[in-house]
Amino acid sequence: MSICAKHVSLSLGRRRVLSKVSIEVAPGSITAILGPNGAGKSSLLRVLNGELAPSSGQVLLDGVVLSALSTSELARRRSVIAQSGLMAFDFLVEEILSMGWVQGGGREALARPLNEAAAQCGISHLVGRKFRSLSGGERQRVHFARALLQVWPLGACSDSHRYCESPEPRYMLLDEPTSGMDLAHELSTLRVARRITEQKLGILMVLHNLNLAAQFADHVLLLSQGEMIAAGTPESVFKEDTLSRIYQVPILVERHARLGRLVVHTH
Amino acid sequence: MRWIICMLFSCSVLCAGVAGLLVGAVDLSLASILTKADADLERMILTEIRGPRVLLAGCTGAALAVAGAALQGLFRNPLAEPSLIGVSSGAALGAIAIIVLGPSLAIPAILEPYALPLAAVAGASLVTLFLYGFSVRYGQFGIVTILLVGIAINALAAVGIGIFQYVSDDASLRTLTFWMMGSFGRATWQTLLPALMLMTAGIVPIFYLVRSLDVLQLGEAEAFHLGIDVNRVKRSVILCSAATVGAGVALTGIVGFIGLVVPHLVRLLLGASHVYVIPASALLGATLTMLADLLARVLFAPAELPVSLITSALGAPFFLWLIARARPR
Repeated sequence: MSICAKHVSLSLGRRRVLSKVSIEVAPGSITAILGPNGAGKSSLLRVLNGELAPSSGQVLLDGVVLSALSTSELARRRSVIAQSGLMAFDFLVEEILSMGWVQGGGREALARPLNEAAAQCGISHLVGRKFRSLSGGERQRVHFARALLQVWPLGACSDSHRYCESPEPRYMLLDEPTSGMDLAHELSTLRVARRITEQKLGILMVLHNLNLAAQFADHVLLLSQGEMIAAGTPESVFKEDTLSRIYQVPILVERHARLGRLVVHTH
Repeated sequence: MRWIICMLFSCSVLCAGVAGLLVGAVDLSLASILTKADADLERMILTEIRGPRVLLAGCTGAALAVAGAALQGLFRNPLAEPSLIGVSSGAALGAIAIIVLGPSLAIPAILEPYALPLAAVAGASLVTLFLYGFSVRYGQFGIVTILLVGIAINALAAVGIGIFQYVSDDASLRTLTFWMMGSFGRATWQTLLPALMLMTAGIVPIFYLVRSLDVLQLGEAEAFHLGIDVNRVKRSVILCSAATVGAGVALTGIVGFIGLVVPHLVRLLLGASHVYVIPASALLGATLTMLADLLARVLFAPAELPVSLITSALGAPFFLWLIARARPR
């Protein structure tokens, strides 16, 4: 059970964007895709979420080739946050959140998960507001809550609901899910992500902040110019020489005595 | 609250419809029509003139407003209005082609009532498909771009219309000139039926697309991630809005701004969700168009103003206000 890419390559026009990249995201874990700008992080995410078809290689969702799954089946099993644009009309936050509900069952089935997802993401006070009146960080938190609602975890909905009767792994594929958020909300959002992985949920996210990756990711994949440089636990991937070479700045990695985890500095 | 407003809109359709039937150059009284034995003339005015006219006005208003709301949702652009972006012009060009070329095409008599609306639908479809292709090729339309493309399409349609005017014979030119004046006055039960069928075929599927149109506002990729078959939604909205606009234009000429003003008024009252915007636009569009037609008939009775004068006189200032409001701050 996993969402995985096997030796995936991608060309857009004449440009080679990804070259034989492999990655596996298991339920119950967080995997972070890291790399400098233009490394192919978002493109890999778009291949994994079914938006782009790979030029070669395979993407499998729980053992089934992605292209064999219907759009609605995909929507029930994985949610996505892309780098989103502006909204043309004044939707309420509540309406944006309800767009994430793909499990059926009407308004009654949605009410409780919507309130719980909003509460978990700390946006209950925003539910009645107009989406366009929110700040960039608040909008991103709403999108995170919407994506969470789309793969609402086991046990959180009513017992009679189909979702609870046939539990199956769910996945969230997130492109810079905390962009625009302040430090506190960045941490609280990733803590929610960490917590929900306990409910058979696998999360893959594109991150820029190496320290957040070290803090929250079980696995990291380091990309540069479309090629997989390293993959594994943060401890095995975060090597000073590798990171310094990829990011082209001198980077120091050390285990913080009080935090008990890796921290990354530039100097 | 939202459903109460929708109920009020429903009542307004009924009131505008009854007013449209009874008020005009000759005022009718329901009591006398129902009770008097010698009210044949009044009954004839009611059933043969006012009846089809009011029905056509209501349906055209509903169709234009729904098409406007759906196109705005599809393009994610509040200014995508059938007449502004050239869809109505495309329909007009299709209709004019049939008026001018029809006599030489030897259309079977049984298909004749359908030829004009179908040609208008074909013209509207071509323009909408072109607009969509253009937006896919060059990225999502900004507000300015869609208006500029609309100007270009309207100009091209004007060229086509000019050519048809130039090559038409005297009889076709006369028909064409009357047709272009735009009015609900040409409605008869015989011409109404095919147009109503097309409008219904266009409006009803849009009611089933309201959730998809909502989700589409997040972007096409996001809609796909949320389980929407984006291409099917695009095709459906394009064909349905072209069918409704084409059918309306075929019988009435170009009635501007209904598709712009109505969805905006509805959004101000009911919010942005298409679950409310689409049905409420149908109701308010029907009401406003029936009232505009009523005004066109009574303002200078017994003379009659083209209804597009009334809708444009009300819609154009509203449009300017919207542009001022949409200006980046």
